[in-house]
Amino acid sequence: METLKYTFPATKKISQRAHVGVVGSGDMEVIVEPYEGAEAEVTVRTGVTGFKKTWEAVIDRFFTQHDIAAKVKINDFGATPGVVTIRLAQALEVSSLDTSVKS
Amino acid sequence: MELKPHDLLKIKKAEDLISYTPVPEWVEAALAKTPFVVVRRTRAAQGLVAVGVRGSVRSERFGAFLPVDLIVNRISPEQLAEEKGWKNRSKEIFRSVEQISHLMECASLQWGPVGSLGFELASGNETVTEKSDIDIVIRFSRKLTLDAAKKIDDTLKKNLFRIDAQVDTAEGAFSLSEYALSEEKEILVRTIDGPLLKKIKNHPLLYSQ
Repeated sequence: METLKYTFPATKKISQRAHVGVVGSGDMEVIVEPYEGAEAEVTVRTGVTGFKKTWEAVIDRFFTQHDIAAKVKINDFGATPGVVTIRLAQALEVSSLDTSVKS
Repeated sequence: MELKPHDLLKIKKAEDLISYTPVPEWVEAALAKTPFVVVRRTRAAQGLVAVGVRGSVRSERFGAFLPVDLIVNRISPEQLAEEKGWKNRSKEIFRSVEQISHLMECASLQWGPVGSLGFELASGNETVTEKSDIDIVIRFSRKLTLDAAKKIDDTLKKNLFRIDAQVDTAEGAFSLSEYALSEEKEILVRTIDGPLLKKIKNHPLLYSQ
């Protein structure tokens, strides 16, 4: 089991918690929770070791495109990068992105 | 011969595989021990089929292509379900497979074991461990309504082993569990062109062919 952590600056709030995905081969589950800080805190727990660089690239691309303030937990069971991106997009949709953080 | 994802193909030798990337060292030994590859859900050029090689650990998976005319034998998940090869095996996991078999028969669903379990049943080589999940594929049909899916999902979740059931449709595959809990929202569908989000309704056009 490997745990990877990433942090990204964020400006947008999400309105609710979301839990999507499946505990199953080639899939993952993701839990997204609103976070008061101005950042996204991403924790990936994966049983498939040796894909640190791939995770970094996929997570980095997603959270650069979607700068949401959130705590994001991913439990991975060997999801492909395509599945990771779709699951994150699905979680984002369910947590229904609302307007920018008021300054 | 129409090939579907999860079909197991017996091959003659590792050299029959075509790869555009370097072949990891473990591949030859794995195929020498168990000369089976699994059909992947990926497009392949004319005359080829996309296949995967399974090594001894989870990180050992390798994607390649196989010329269709070099296939020695094809074993579908349904064939494995019909043969019931688990009946003369003692491991605890095979008792759970028998329960699943009974459940699927009662629900009039076409199904079969895949993953490490299918691999072991097809090849005869020990692949499953006490920690293995039970991977199965169910063919989408008129019988698999949302209600039926919920009932089956509930029953499978009570099993001693973790069961990962994928539903195969004409357009791709999705998780039975996600479908059962979807409330007609979009779910992840794995298609030959990659994963996408889609609403699934029980419709003849989606039935597994």
